[in-house]
Amino acid sequence: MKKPNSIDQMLADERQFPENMDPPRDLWPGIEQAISRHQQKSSKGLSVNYKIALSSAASIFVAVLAIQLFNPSQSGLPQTPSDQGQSNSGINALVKTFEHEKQQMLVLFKDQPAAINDWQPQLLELEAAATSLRQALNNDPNNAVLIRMLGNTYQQQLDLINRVHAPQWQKI
Amino acid sequence: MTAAVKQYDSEDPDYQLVDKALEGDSQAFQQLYLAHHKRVFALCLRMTASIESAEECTQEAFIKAWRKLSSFNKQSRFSTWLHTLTSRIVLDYLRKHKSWLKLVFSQEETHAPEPVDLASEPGDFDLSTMDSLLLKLPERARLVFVLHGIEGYRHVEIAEMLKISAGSSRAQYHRARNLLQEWLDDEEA
Repeated sequence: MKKPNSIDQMLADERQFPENMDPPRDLWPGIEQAISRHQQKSSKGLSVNYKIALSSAASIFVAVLAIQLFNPSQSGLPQTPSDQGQSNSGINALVKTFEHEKQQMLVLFKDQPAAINDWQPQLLELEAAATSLRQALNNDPNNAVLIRMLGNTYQQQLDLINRVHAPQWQKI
Repeated sequence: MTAAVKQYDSEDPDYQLVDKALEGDSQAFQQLYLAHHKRVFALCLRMTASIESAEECTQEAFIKAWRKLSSFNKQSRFSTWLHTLTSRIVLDYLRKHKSWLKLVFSQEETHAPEPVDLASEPGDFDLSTMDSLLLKLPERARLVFVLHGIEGYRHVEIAEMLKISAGSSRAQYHRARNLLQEWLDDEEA
């Protein structure tokens, strides 16, 4: 009877766990693009527009925070129709600010090649998530968790646009 | 430069390329990429269980390696440094990816989407029997198995990387081994 293979035997077998695997596509062009951009940036520093874009992204978090701080459901006060109206207008302001920032960034990076090819489907997914959250907020405008998720989803859209056009890789 | 480093210098053929890359020579860095990308990709694929994620992590690993090259002090081989960097990048990638899924869908790990079926991805990626089984493991068990069983990290190192206890790392490793053995026996039966 054939002796069954053990995991230790398999681990020692280079054919089972090959050290090298070929990626299905050439990954170098994306890397080359990113490192040449990094070289340019190192010599020039960040552009003013880019700094504005980053600070604007941060302002969205402030907006979310403000909505939550002034949200009556957080302070334990009873809700009135006017409270709900305020929440709705706060969310609408947040959405408007974000959309404005996003459009500015897309214009800013319009002529720059992206570091990866599939960033637009990723952006569409995030936009779809934001749409679902907004629909949920129409029925429950004071839901702090939904507002926070919406803010985060928007932030991720900005991060994605920034990252693929001007990678700011994290420290180890 | 110390004698010890000089000796190491002569042992690792990558050091010359590293020095050139540090001076801004992207062609030298491309040589480093060509020498190491297949191994980096293999590590990324085993850790992420997705071709697309593995490609993204591989690119990120080399871009970060370029940026961080000045922090490489030649106390180890370049490949060792690159692999440590890659492991951390993948873990960071998985954390971010998962936190987004949890945030948007409010779901627990067990309900997160299953890893992509590699056989259905374009190009019909060729995997060994063991690699195919490995990619079916639950994420944490898979990560521990790859880092300890294949990459040779100690459980205390893995514990620090995954922010779990060393005991938990050992338990996940045994869980992975048992599952793999069970699946392997089924395949051979």
